[in-house]
Amino acid sequence: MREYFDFNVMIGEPTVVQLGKWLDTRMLSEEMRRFNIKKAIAYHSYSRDYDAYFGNNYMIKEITGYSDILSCWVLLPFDISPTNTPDELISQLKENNVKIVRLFPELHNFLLEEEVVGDLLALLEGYNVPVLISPNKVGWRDIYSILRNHPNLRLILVDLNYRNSSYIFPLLKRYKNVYIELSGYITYLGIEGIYKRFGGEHMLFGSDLPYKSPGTTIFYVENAEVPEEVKDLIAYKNGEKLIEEVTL
Amino acid sequence: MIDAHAHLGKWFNFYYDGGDYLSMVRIMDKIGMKSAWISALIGIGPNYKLGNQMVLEAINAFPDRFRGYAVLSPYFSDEMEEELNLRFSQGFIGIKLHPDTHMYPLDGPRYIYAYKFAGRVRCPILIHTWGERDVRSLMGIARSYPEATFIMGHSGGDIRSMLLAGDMVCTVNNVYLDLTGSAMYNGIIEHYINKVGSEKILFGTDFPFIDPRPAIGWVKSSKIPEEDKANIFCKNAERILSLVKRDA
Repeated sequence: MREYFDFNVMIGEPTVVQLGKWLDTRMLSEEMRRFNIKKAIAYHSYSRDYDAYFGNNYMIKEITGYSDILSCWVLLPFDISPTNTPDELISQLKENNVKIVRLFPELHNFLLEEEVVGDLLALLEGYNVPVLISPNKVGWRDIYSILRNHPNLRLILVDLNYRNSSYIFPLLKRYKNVYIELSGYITYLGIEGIYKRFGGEHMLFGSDLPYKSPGTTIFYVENAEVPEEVKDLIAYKNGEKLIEEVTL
Repeated sequence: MIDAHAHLGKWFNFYYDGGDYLSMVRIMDKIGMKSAWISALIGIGPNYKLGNQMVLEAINAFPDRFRGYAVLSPYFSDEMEEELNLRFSQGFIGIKLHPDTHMYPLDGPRYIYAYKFAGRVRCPILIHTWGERDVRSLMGIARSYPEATFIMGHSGGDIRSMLLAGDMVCTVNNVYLDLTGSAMYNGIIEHYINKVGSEKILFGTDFPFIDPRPAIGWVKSSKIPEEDKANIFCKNAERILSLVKRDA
């Protein structure tokens, strides 16, 4: 059974607990064992639904003792962040071994304009820190704008849907550091379509736990009409490389 | 495995590769899908007759792999009798209504002939539903036409409506919950099994509007007994098909 590296997990109770589904670290570990997920990148629900930095610090405590769960911090623009200088942020990321971050501009009420997040994105771009963002929530024009200003930013597009190919293809054509997390990209022949046009290096496995079962994307990957080595890239290797290349 | 909610062709406002019946059969072979019950996307769009003709061509090319739903338009209700007689003489097995794209309520009078026909022939009638109003309307129609077999497309679609559908479907014998939908909520299958039992749940994917593979993985990885999966994937659809009266 192929090993997977999951790039889209939330732990902690969200404000809305749908169908009783939420995960603490123990429950996440069980799901990881069930689906042969060897590593997972997770953010905390408190970072999304309460306070970004409270949740980030909570996350660090939650995953103590779980070396296979990597912390994804949720960040805010420097102007409204308690970590209000670039040096402080870098120092905290290093200290807590955080190598990937996520932004929720649509929930946390800030714009993705250069005046608001330009300095933050430039900093992350410089250290090769991947940034997860949901383009269907923030708007695709903002994604295009970010990449025009930060063409080397390692941007992972999450929570996609089956209607997104027309937005995705021009980005993959122009920017070498854009990645597609697959849990929502259930476009017909979607994996094959990206592979055929751009190769297999830009797709990442994600489960969207606790909202979706990892089984959905795993079955899609395992039954894709692409070479086995491309499935390995999607399942694990692309993700591993992204994290290894962080220069913090 | 039978996909009781599939389509054929392209959709106007987003892109995917393929969509023709040859590409569909190729994927069906790969994933072990025995047959797909299809309606043409152009049929639920601007031309229902052309769509039904395209479905007939697919059935004629692969009679063991495709079953046809005849799409009807509320704007041509005076043509319903002729169209249904023609299509059922050609081997179609059901009726598909899309009140959403046609912007006409499913409990409106222009659909009455379709419901009467479905009751007389005991054929399945697949109706797109989205939202609590649609769920309630379909339940009302199902009580009025107890001989017809109703498939509640998407089971109401959003999570609140899907939960309502689960509560309401157990009050009648002639409505099936259709799992088709892009969200693939983690836990809804287990919820439905507890609420209504696996005999009232049908497998569907929207294929090729959406790729069928994630939905297969979703059902396969759900925490339910294998016999329930067999009911969902195949047996319920076979039972529905066995009820259709060809000589009515």
